[in-house]
Amino acid sequence: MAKKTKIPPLMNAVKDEKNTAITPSSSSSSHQRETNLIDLTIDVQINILTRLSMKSLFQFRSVCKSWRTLLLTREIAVHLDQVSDKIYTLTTNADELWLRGLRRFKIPIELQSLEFMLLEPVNGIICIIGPVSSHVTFAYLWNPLTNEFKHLPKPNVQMGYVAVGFGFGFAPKSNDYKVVRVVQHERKFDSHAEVYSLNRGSWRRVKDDSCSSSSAWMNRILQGVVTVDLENEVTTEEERMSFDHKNHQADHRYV
Amino acid sequence: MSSSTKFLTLKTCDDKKFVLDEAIAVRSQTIKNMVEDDCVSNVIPLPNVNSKTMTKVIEYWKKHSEEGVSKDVLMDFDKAFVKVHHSILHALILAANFLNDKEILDMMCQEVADRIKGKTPEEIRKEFDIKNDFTPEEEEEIRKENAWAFE
Repeated sequence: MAKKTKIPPLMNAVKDEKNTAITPSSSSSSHQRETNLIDLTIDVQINILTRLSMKSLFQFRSVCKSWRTLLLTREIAVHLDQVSDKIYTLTTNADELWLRGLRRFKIPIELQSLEFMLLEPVNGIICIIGPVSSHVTFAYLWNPLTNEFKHLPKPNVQMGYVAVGFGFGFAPKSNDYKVVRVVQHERKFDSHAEVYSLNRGSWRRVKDDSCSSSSAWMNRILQGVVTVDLENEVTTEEERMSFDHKNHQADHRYV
Repeated sequence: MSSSTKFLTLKTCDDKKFVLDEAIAVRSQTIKNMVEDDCVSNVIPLPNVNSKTMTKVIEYWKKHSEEGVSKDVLMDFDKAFVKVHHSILHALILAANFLNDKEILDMMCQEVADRIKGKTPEEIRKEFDIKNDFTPEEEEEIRKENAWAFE
């Protein structure tokens, strides 16, 4: 039987405003063991769950505690990405919705800005972040299936610097979710990146090992790719763990 | 029958024996590997499968190994095959997983998914005999969550 790892809760630190998080009391009850999906191997569970739409998954998690807990295991959440990717949108433009065949998805709180983007889901968790070209950044992590919603602290505002790109990823070694924010000076074209670590609970400027010069940064921003090693929080030339912030911006919509 | 027909004996966990044409039995990747690795003596033990489930699996294997069966007939057969109580469905999934028969496994997983699709949580519980172990407060919370999720 494959080992199941719980997704670290988003809300372990501070409970946000009106947020409600139901933390499933783990592996309670042993009812109707004979047919519970919980008894199946993780491969089989994934086989079944990936056949369900997001709407069905919402019904699924409301059936009983153990089914709800099942959707919290990372191995399973990873496979639900494809599902979630296609359905989530923050747009309110009905025509666009119709054109794209998307379903409107309401998020559980009022966003503090009107302009946001949805970053690609990681392990079923979505990062809502924005706006671009602004000194201030608001960022939220949201797991729609568990309804965990975390309002991240604001990065430090630095005079003259505006956000030009965002990224979101998982660092498996440290079992941590990280959000990347790339900023650029409005006139000087000087740039750097900052990383928020969910475990640390704060933003930190990434070390520039590979592209310390502003021209190197400039080049990367023009190409739309800034690569950050999420484990060590340094910029890197390597392609792995890359953040193509241009791609992420492709999902840029208005709430 | 040609003289090359080989038979295998499968023994389920409840000590029932099934004698089966090897050509059919190797639909199970697990059995196929055993045959190929030459580790088949007289009887292949299937410690995770009971005779009731094995009978169903063999029924499927035989039908799908028959010659000259039209696609429509097979489709009707499959449709009827998955229409079983959820406890049998569950047993078939476990058996297909153990026997490593992807065809049966996928078909059964699809059937489970189909029984969940388009149903309310209450209907799903009824379908799978699951007890609702949420407190009324938790239920109310879930109801609210689902309300915001989809308009």
